[in-house]
Amino acid sequence: MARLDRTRFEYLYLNANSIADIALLRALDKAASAAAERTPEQRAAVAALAHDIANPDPATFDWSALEGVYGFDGPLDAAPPAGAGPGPADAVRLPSFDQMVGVDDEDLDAPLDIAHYLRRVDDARPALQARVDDCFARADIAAFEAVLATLPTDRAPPDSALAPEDFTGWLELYEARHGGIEAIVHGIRQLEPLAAA
Amino acid sequence: MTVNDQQALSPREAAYIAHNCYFTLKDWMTGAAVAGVETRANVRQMVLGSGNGAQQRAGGANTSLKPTDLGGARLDRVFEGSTAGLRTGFGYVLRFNRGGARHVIVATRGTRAEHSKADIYTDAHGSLTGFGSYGLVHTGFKNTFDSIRGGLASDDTRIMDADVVHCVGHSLGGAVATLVASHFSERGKAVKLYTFGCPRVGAFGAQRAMEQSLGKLNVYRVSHDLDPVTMVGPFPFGHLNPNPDDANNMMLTSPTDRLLSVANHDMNEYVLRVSRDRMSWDGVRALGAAVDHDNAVMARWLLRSSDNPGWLTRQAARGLSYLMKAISGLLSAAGLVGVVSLTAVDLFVAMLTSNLCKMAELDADLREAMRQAAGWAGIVLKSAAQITAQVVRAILDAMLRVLKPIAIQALYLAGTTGTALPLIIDGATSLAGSVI
Repeated sequence: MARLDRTRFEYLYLNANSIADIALLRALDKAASAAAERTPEQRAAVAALAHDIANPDPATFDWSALEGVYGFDGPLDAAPPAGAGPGPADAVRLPSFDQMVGVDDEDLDAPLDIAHYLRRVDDARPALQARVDDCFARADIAAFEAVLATLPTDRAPPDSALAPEDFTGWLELYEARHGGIEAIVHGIRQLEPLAAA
Repeated sequence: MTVNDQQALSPREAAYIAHNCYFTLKDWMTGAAVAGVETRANVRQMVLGSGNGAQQRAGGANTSLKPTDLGGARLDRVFEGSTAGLRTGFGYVLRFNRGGARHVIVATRGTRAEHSKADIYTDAHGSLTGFGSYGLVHTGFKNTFDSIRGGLASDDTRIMDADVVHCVGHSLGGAVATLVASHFSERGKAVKLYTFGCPRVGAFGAQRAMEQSLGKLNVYRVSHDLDPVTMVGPFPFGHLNPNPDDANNMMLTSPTDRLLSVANHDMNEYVLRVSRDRMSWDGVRALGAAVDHDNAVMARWLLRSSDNPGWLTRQAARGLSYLMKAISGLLSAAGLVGVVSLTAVDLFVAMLTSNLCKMAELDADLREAMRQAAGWAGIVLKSAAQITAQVVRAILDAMLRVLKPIAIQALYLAGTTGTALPLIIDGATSLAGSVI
């Protein structure tokens, strides 16, 4: 197994972020389109909830569910607790994967095209160099190397440039909850700003 | 739907009155950080259009002194109010006659930068207290309302004797105007309410009770779709006339287009939008047709904010858009008519405080979507149970970290600058001679 150097880490970073992003979109798309297929019992339960949401009762409103959520624990202008926030200040200022591999609003409802998405990722690489440097410096490289060694070897590895069909193979493995690729994706995503919030 | 706006102030009248209300603050014209109440003479000069600001704005010609059809506008009183213990000028009472009817205007101002600490605490403290027969309202707004009641009491007879009472305000002033309007409505007066960039005042149905008392068509609620102040505090607080199909929910596209920004709360921007070309309320309603009421849009705004720390951005908008659609679809199919009036933040709060998270977990597709969202967000799930709640909490927390600082800043800047706008009451007579 080749050492996970800066170049291979960059591919791992791009592929793992892309897998997380596309898997989420596909799952949400499926959830949104499946909304009509519910049992009568489920529909009745949701209707009861809808009624509760339309008519919240101060006697039973569960404020405790919001404890710890910013803005619900004190005055509006209270400063965020020390250590909270979107992540290390310097890292946050760097363009993130999500910023650079975005789609415009007019594309939001278009069907997802994986090849097109990967071209966007490739186009975004120059702008992401500082972000990748930062993540590479903060990542537990040895842990990633250990997980990479457990992955299937019948396809191009995720720390290399992937053709759409190879990428789709890893995506489907991730969606099938393969522990190794899941660990890789979650590990990379934890280096992004949202995870620190 | 045809709405009869007879006896209502015009959009320009309402906007100018809300704007000029800031002149009740001492030294607002100079911007000096002096707490207190401006003299009645100075307020009268500015509000009734004879002030320097009006001259400046009109290029040297004081347009408000041109003969109009106004039948005797009088500035009866400048009253003070208290926000978190700091007493300052807070509003004024005007009266005029039109169409054979006696009209009284009660105008209340928004926040002021140099008094911001007090005012922002008032805006921000989302605790609840009872208000008349209506139910629970925001404690800070209620406290401010209580602080002006003494001043208003002096005009009580005048107000109660009027044929029509108009309550007008921007920002915090809109919230207080809502309570003033509801107070007089509860006492049997016919009241019309005009708010610009108004935060949410009532919760747990009080907003609906106030709306019913006033009458939906007597509540003219003007907002920008990306005005952050209108989005706080979230569910279970709510607006009067909240639904997109409410005729007098006049939500307009924001001046900053697609950016969540403090500029979208600026009263000057509201003035520019609704006061041009002698626009009618139907004209303002028509402007609202351009607004996208998809509640996923708010998520996109947050992502696009200039103050966005980068936690989520453009590509994520698509994911959140789908999430909103999935949840909204679930509730809408279940008969929740008002789901379209809930923002993304409202929806997430509703999910957390109801059993909707558990319900979502019973739905295999939604549960899988939440699991993917957790992985995408880098959230380490401690247990298979409560996946949805953990993900929703994380996203809600991140959204509020973006939204609330912008809302605070918008409140802080609400009363920073401005020149007097000439009071022009359409269809009235002899304004110049009416100044008392």
